[in-house]
Amino acid sequence: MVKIQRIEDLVGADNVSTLDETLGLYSRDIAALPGLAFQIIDNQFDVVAQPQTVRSLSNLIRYAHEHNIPIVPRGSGTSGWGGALPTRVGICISTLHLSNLVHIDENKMLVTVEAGMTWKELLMVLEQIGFTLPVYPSSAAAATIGGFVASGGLGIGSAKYGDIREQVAGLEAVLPNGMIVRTGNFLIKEDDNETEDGESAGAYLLSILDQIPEECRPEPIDLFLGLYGTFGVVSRVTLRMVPKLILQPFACVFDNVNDLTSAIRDIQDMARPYYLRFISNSYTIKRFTPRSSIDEYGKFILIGALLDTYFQIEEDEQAIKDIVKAHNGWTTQQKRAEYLWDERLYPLRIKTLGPSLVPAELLIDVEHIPELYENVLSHISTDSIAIEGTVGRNGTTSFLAWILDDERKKFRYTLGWHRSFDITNLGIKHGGKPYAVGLWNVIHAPHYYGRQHYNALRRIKRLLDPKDLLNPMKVFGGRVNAKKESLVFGFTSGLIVGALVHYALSSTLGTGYLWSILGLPHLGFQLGLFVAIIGGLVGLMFIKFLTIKNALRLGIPILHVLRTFLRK
Amino acid sequence: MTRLDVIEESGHGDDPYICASCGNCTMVCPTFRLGKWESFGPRGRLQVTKNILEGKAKFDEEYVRKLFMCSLCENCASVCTTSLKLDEFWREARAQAWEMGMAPKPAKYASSSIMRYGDPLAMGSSSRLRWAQDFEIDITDRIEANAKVGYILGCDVALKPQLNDIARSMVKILEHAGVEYTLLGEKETCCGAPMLWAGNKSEVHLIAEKNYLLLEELGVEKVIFSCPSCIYIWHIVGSTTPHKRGNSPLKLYTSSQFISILDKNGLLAYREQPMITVTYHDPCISARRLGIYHQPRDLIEHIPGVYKVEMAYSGTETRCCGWHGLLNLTNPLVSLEIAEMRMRDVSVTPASRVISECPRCIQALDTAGQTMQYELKVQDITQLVAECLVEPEKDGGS
Ligand SMILES: Cc1cc2nc3c(=O)[nH]c(=O)nc-3n(C[C@H](O)[C@H](O)[C@H](O)COP(=O)(O)OP(=O)(O)OC[C@H]3O[C@@H](n4cnc5c(N)ncnc54)[C@H](O)[C@@H]3O)c2cc1C
Ligand code: SF4
Ligand code: SF4
Repeated sequence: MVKIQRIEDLVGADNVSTLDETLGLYSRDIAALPGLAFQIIDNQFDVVAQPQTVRSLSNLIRYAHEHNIPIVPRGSGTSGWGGALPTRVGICISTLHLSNLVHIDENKMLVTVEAGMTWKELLMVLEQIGFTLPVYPSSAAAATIGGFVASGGLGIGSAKYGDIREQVAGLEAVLPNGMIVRTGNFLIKEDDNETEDGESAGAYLLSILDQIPEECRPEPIDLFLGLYGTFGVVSRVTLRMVPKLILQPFACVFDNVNDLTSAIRDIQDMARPYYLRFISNSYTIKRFTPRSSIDEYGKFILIGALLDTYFQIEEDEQAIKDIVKAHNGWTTQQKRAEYLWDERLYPLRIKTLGPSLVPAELLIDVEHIPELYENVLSHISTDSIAIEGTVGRNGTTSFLAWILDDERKKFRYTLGWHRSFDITNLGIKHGGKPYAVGLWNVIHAPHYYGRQHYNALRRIKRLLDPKDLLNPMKVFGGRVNAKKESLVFGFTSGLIVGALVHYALSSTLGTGYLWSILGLPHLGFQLGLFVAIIGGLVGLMFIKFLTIKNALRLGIPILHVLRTFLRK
Repeated sequence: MTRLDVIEESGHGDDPYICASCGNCTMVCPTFRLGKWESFGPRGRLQVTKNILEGKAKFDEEYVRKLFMCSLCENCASVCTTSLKLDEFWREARAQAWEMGMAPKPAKYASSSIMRYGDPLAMGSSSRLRWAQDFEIDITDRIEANAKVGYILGCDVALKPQLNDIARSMVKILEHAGVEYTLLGEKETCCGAPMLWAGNKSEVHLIAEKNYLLLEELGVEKVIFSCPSCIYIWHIVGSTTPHKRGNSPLKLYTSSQFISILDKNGLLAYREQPMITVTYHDPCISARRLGIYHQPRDLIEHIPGVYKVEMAYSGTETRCCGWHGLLNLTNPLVSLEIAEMRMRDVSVTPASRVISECPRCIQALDTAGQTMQYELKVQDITQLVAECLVEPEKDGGS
């Protein structure tokens, strides 16, 4: 039971809300979920709290731990994998107001910030002193430092510097029991007295990790990177920064996906670009018109930027021009390249065409772009899909398919969601993995993290958070909080199955089958009713104990079959 | 399902569905920064509108309260990922509230005052020339004179004593440059902007027409405005008025835009100033809507002895002063807090003056300076320029 007064005492009354409107707004992310999804997740949290200091964040989590209240951390809610959604009601902790700059060390090229600061704010500060970020998401204007670090992923700068997780030098997080722990090279001013339990929390965390076999034991910091806040709420992060050298955008256009792919590979090998994003013909045909951009309409575009010294840029630019030419492409005018670079923070313009978008995103090898591209298009009509990707380091790229739809056509929209899962499965067949896990990709979590590593993480989760209170169900799955309609559905289906079984058995074995099996009296109709009710109860229990993984394993094929059937 | 006819008929019914929930708008919204909760920001309000459309929430007083707790600064529209015209959306949503009789009282008052007195302050036309009393330049002959250039003061500048100097400064500049101009004097009326902000969409053109017709009769070709919102309204309402002002041959200028033309043509002679450091606050409408942000800077930089420093968030990324969109009437405290936030941006620069070109910004920053006890001169660009001009000979200028 959540005691609002206690929460207000802990974080300040102004920073707590139980208004229906507010609860609704903080209980969603960018995905417009079909109504069916709310059968397995909760409609809204009980309360939203916005701590203003690390200490009050820690006190709040300690309180939740002592009273068995589930908590879900939330940055700006700009992700769409369900990581910030309510699964067992409880408290939503919004970090948006923990947004101070803590410390900058120009010599070490490190900066420490609170988790709720947005990437754009940090960029503005760094650029004033001649630095920039090695990686930031294209949602930089709103996404928080904590949200991106907790999700992991590629962004602007990843072509040169890789995943955001590689840019975190150290961090501070609040463990499920409320202890504040610091890991890695966490940089802070000497006189910081925010965290008395720093050392004991560190020892506690190490004692837990010691129970994991050495060969699969993660570093403490790894528990907070790309694991969606399931091990702790990140409160402050020390990030690497890089000198803001000369930034030179470029863009090139190709007729087909094979040329595009070869160019990406060669540019990555020979020019070390800072940023690379491709948009496919299925995208440009929708975003551009033949009149406004005749050279780009229906083509494949590679948008990039170099961040380097003047001489290196000169050299790389020439190399890129040669590569593009060798692969039958052409480079756009500089002004156009600059425009496309400026548009990097507006990747969702395509949504105007939906109005709804159902995303499917994968991490694949660059080499596999053409076959996956063809394969996806053979499954889903080009009219309703737009594909793009952000290139990382070491030959990997994200492969993001936007499926255009309209959430107002509720039935069709619900059924259409299976396409997103289908594309993910296709990508996995092509050697890829889902781009992110959050809630909706829990089935793929072992594949995403690697089975051995995942099993180790699971054990640590059980030790650190035995009641699964911190961001429950995310990454590791768990029992769904089935709603009334689902329970009724389970009961009714069980009832029907029970009645059918009764009918089948009695017509083959005679009405006395149960009597003959169990030695019970011959009951006729009552027996049928009895079997049906037993069936109903079994159905009910099945739903009641359904896990999210099983719900998805069952639900997605059902959507698929229904859609195919109704189409016919 | 709840029908929101006004919003839907205006073509904005799909907006809440197109919104990508990216949050760009919320992060730049001044009322979100103050209100702290999503429901005060544009992303939250759009989501609530969607809930209303789907029958999951009500178009009630609380919703309307939040609709009017917005300064219509357009910052949200300028960063929208899906290019939603949020400025229009908020206006249509207010029009919906107006239709349903739910607009807040101060908004209704401003609107009816304009219909009755020709201004939102209920002062009436006889007060419109007070600014020229005891003024060293006699403007009598300029009133309703035939001329190619017209100067529209706007209600605030004409009627609020603390802003009267802006009109006097503009007249000094025009006289200095030898421009033949005309003033509408007591016949000038409100442009209708506050009516539109109040949601009274159906009557605004009745008012918005008036100045136009008068200027047309006087043979005016170029119109200077001390208030950028008048220009904006001219553009918006223009296309719907019988005279189709959207196709009007009249050219409309903000103060800085017109003065910088005079400056470029060498019509302004300045006195060397004793090292004045200023910063420039871009009014939302000038910068974001009219694209005027180079002109005032060019002007400032051209005055000898005046130095400009930039503050954070300038040009199209400017932050609101809090006084726009009737916020100062419907939520004066919120308005003031936003002004104070902006004043904080000013206060970290070494500037001793903040310059702008909108009477509402001037009032907001001036008030914030007082409540924060931050001593700093707040001036309209017109005032700065007029102050730096070589004085006319009869005054013994240099
Ligand atoms: C326009 C747009 C562009 C995008 N571009 C990119 C991109 O380039 N690359 C990319 O990978 N993603 C991208 N995304 C997805 C999303 O923006 C990122 O994942 C983002 O980093 C999420 O940040 P957030 O603050 O919104 O976090 P939320 O969405 O609020 O949360 C994300 C997850 O992190 C957890 N979390 C949040 N804060 C904390 C914390 N302090 N401690 C622990 N856990 C926490 C939440 O519980 C949730 O599981 C984009 C999204 C949009 C809308
Ligand atoms: S117009 Fe300004 S105040 Fe209103 S919602 Fe947009 S950003 Fe916020
Ligand atoms: S910026 Fe536009 S798309 Fe993004 S949340 Fe705001 S209204 Fe929606």
